[in-house]
Amino acid sequence: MTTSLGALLGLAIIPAVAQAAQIAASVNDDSGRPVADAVVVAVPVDALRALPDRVPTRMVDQVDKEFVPKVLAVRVGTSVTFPNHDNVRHHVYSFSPAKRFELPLYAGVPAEPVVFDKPGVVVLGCNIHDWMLGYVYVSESPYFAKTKGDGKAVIELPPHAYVVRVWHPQLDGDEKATSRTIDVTRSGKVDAVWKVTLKPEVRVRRAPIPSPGRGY
Amino acid sequence: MAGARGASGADWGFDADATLAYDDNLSRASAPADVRADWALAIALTASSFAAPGPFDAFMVAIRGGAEGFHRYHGLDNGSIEATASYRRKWGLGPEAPWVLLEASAAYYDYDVDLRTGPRFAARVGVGKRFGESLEARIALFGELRRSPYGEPDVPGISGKVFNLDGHGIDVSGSYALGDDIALAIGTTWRRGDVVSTASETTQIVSGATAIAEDPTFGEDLYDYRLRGTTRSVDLTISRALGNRASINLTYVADWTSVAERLDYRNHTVRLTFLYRN
Repeated sequence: MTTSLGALLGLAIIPAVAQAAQIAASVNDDSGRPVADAVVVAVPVDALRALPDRVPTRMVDQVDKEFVPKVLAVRVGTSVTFPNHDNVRHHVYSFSPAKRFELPLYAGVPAEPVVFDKPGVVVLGCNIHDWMLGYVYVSESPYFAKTKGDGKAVIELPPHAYVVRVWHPQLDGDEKATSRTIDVTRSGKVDAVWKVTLKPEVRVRRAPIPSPGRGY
Repeated sequence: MAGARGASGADWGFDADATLAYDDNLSRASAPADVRADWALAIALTASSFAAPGPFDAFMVAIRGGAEGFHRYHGLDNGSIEATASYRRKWGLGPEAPWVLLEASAAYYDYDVDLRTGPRFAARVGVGKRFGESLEARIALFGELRRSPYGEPDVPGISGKVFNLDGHGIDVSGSYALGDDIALAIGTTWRRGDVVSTASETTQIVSGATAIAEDPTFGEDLYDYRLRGTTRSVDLTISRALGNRASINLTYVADWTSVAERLDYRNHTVRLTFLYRN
């Protein structure tokens, strides 16, 4: 993840400007198919923006023994709750350097949300259901969006120049390699298309495998 | 951080299986003239309850009802009901934490030819570990017991209850995810215990048998012989996931059974299985 410390320091002291520009991103794979759940992040090339004081609390639900949404994009400092809407308890954890945490076996809504205070990718798991896999993408920039099923996402942001990059759980390679500079100072709206290579999604499999059976 | 909302912690599921199988030596016979092969179609429904009483513990109980029908040898057609209880404990957090599994089952099989009808009991203890996202390895010890009240003595002084069988063994298996939805599973089993071979009467087999009974399942003048033997098996399954809950699987199993009196036999099985797990 690209982090511009200078930009972030500047963000804290420079007043906000009305957001009047857009980056309309499209993310496709090598075959031209739209890529859902890709996070598109725009980081100002320099420090021009102030961070809002409050960051809304977000949620990663557990429904039918899966994390919903599978990918949640948040800003640094965001609190995330992990309600469990299944009738079996879950044990949510992450080993990721950006946020190590554990919510021991619980039902319902944990009393305290988890604060994601460092940028990076946080991989979520459940110790009871090993196939459960989710991601919290913690962005250092307030300007980001997640692609929908059509591979498209729109980022609303102030007119300025940005370094824009794409991340996806199956992205083959470093997200920095997807970076490009996009200036929306004049045009107000810029369409940007990314073609990314995705790795196969190999995770603990939920679908059953039969036991071979024996007959003597 | 515990939640405010209570939950039973028990999760009920209803599963379904269907298998088309071919066995090239159903009679487990040594002599080529006694070998019988056939196709079978089996279906089963399972109701299970899963609970996680602690962060590293999981209990499951299941009731499974099944039926199996054969193309030629209808004496092997059967219905069954089986209850299984299992407990798994993980040592640590995450999918790569090793685990231990204890499992016990009791079943009752009812065959068209009564000789095979009766209860079966099995227990196993296994350990396993995942290595990365793709590979999981398991090893288990098992013991099994099968009883049948049927079977008249055919030879004086030798029991007719050929399907009173005991066995124990070890199996080692692993699965490897080849991609998004394709997995390969491979295993090998060593088992020591009673086996039943169906064959024409010979001095050789009679002298090695611990029980003998006439069995009309595979034709006239054939007998079942309970023998003490060692079976080595290898199995290979290629499994394609159909979404998160279902899979279609092709399995090949080869068994080599060594018994006294040079009555060794081989059998090979191919199965096409559809599994649905709710």
